[in-house]
Amino acid sequence: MTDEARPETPDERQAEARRLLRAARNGDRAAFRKFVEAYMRAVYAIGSRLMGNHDDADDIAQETFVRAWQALDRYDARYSPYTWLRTIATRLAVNELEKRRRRQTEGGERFDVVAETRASTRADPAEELDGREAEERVAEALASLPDEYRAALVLRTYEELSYEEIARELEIPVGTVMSRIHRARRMLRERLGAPPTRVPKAPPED
Amino acid sequence: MSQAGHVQDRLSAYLDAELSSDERAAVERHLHACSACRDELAALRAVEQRVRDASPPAVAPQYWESFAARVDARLGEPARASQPAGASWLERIVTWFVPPGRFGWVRAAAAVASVTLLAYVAMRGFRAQDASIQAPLRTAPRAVTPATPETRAPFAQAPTQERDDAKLPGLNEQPIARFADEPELADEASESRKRSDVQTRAQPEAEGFGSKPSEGRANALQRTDAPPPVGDLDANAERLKKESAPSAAAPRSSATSEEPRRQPATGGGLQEREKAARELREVADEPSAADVLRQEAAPAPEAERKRVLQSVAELDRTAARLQAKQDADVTLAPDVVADLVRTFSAAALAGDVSAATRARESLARERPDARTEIDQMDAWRAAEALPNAVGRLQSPTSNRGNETSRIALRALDALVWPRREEPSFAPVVERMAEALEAASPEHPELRPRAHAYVTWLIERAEDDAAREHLRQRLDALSP
Repeated sequence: MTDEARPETPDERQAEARRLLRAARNGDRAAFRKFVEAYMRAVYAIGSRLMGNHDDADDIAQETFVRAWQALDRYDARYSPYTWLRTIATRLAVNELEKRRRRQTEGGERFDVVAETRASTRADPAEELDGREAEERVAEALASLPDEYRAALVLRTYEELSYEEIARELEIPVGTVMSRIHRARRMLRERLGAPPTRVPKAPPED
Repeated sequence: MSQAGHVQDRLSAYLDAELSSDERAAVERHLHACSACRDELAALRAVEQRVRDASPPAVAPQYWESFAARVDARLGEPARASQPAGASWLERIVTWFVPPGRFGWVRAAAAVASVTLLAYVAMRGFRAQDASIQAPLRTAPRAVTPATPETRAPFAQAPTQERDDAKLPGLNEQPIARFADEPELADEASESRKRSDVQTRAQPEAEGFGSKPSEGRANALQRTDAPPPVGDLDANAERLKKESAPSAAAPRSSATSEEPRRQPATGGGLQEREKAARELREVADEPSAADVLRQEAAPAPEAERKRVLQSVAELDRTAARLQAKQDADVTLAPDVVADLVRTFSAAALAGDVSAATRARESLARERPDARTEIDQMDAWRAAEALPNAVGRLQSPTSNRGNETSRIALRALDALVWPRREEPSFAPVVERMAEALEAASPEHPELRPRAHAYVTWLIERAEDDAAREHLRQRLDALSP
């Protein structure tokens, strides 16, 4: 991607990101572009998990960087760049989901494309699935959850926010966070059915 | 099936180590005795693991190749220009509605008010139409081609591919790249994440340049102390004893310095960070130009909707009366105006947008002096098309150019063009340019507008390369 030597350690990478942000704050568009390239996958991942489909994830990801650019002079260096972007992306996604809930209009397509690909190769759930199929099933199942359950679960599972942080982010009580996450997991359990056969990494659970 | 004493509804919180130490102890005591709840916990843990292991759905490499360029194209102004200062939400809405002269085609002030009212009416009628328009919309894959200059005016060309070709979003007849297969830092981190699991994850993951969070990872240290295998309750008891001493006050250990919200409460420091977090959220909450436009096209409440429906029906009845008069007296010259008004209102009531448009076009051609009637038709038509046009315009991924009607684009043009200098409208200006360019082949009268937008963008271009791309688009506009 870039021809210069990649920074190696996590500290170096983060220092590099901060350096790019400082340059961007002075108007260096090329630096901002590098910054975008560094974080686009991570930001897209947040968007796609929260929204459940590609088009919306793209919107969120793009908009996150645009907002970040507009707010560069307000960037507080105590945040890591990732945290900063994640907060913006989460907020945008949650706002959008909330708007839709109120308007009750259709969002972008769910991962139907994925479903169609899978349909032709649907296997007995007890059979061993290759990693990709298993992942697609998960993505599909996640996308099929009610928006507010998915948001809480995603923030927990992928962003590892505490219940209290999630409560603040979604502006709901902690108890609601707890029940949404719990229900999300139970729904997923139903929809995912039997787990794929694989060597368990942990000691047997039953 | 939650009898007294069962802990099922707390199991997720237990799994996530979000229970107080007392609660946790209670749950563990119960688990020791209850196999049903143990099974449930195991199932939850399995689900959590599967979800955690799953990478986000893959997108084609071209998507990433063009991503940064697309962001760049939306940036418009240099970093310093922030949202227009002082323009309150209310002020912005008001400026839309002010001079009727701003909407050249709407005369009466009442018509301006009815724009939003009619929008609701129109949307009801338009839904059927919408479905048929949306269908081709949705089968065409997103036109995510690499952002080369030639393909940057894509909408007229791009989505001729069949849906079958696009197995993955963003795919464009290229081999599918897995998110996890790419030799990127982001994926190193996700690979190493796969190797760990909820229980044994102990190492804080490197916060890669583009990888998953590290702040949360540092807390994994804390969390791995959470549920060990259920059978091992002696270890639990040990751990409980250890934990109840030092960390009771701050169950979330302060991770890295970059995670302000996790700092233990130290008075001023925490408040500052809370404030910073709030400001950060406000960045995301600031209304965008798209929001402003959407507000413009908000549907009307039920009562007003009824009133508007009535006025359209009234129009229809008047026209019918005129028609009947004509029929009765064959010596009367046919009243084109009445005829077309009748056609228009019938179509409007039926929600047939194209027929309504055709009637309007005919009237404008044959009796351009019938300004009042034409304006009324325009008001209705634009209001109906407007919400959909706004909706499509603000969503940069939808295939908007071709199906957005000419009148809707003209309406948007009237709204957007006067505000093209505002930084927050920069992305909207970009999209208007694209939409107008895409509509020009079918509606040549829009070409001058497309020309104006692209010329504007050329003047604002950052560098020669961008200017060159835009000039090519300008050339493409000339027939």
